Amino acid sequence: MFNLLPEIEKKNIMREYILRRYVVLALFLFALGAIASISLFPSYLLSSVKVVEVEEQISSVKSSAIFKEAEALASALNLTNQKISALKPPEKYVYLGTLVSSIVEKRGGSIRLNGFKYNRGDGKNHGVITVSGIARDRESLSAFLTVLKEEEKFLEVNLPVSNFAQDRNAPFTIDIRGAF
Amino acid sequence: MKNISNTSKILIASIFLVILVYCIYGLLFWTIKGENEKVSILSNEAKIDLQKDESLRATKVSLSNNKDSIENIDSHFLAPDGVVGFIEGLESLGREAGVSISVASVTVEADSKNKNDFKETLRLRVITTGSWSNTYYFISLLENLPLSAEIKNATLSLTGASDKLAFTGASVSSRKPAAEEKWKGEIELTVRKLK
Repeated sequence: MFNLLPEIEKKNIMREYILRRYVVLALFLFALGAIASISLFPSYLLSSVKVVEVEEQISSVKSSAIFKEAEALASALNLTNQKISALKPPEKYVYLGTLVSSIVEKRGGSIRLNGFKYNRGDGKNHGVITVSGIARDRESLSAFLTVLKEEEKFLEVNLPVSNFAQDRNAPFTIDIRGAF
Repeated sequence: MKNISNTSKILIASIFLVILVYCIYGLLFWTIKGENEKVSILSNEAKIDLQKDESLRATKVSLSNNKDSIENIDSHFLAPDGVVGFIEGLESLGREAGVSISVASVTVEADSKNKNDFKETLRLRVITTGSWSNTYYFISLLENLPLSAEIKNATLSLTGASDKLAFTGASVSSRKPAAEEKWKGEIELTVRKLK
């Protein structure tokens, strides 16, 4: 039958056939899209509800009494920490009494001390203690200097060479620097 | 021709519906994606808030349990109105140590860098006169005060030694200090004081 039709009719029928196939395909895709959209809808509802739920949870936590006290608690803690830090002595803190006694103990019988001048270090600069006195003789002074240099607390022990000028009853001034 | 034309119309309508339904699908998909991301962010925020809530409660309990210890920290600082009492205490310490004591200057310095600081520094210059052992004992007492205090500068000098500590004779003999011999001390003491 189809072959009996004129050529133009054949083309029309073929075109119509192709169009109808596309229509079926389009309807199939539409059905697929519609089913997919409908199946997404519960998820959409669930997500929306979940957002509201979490927002309520956050607002209930944030409106709790303890949250309102947060700033006061933080400032109380901060103040306590500052006080504890202020009470903490600096590293390698040495008491003046300990420092003086460690010098006095080392002097022996040939050294007599008549003055101490002490400046505590400030973190940037080392502490300085200046010791003055009278040495019986040069050997005693030299021995005293050596003993002082052996002390771990003292980083620098300086005695002007001119202090060795006098052999007997030599007045001296020793500068001691250290982490104190 | 009429049938073919109708089919075309149906096809165009179908294509339009397909586009529409997939736009709706896409819209739903992106909305759900956005909502899920929001839930995730909010859940994290809620988790952090809950942790903060727990830590705040723990902090409050800890502060309450350690109230006495915290108050004890304050006792290591000079009270805001405790300057006079402290100076009197120093004079009493001097008497206990056996040195004569005079307070040459008293100043209060606030930290210029931190105006909200809880403390300020009380700086005192104390002049003492007494024997070596008494002066040394007084310094030890100062350094062991139950306060946040430290000696910043000190000068100790021997006065009244008529022999100028000179060694006489060849042997090393112990020297007996004369009665008028005294050690003069100038001590700069700083004490942290609550504002």
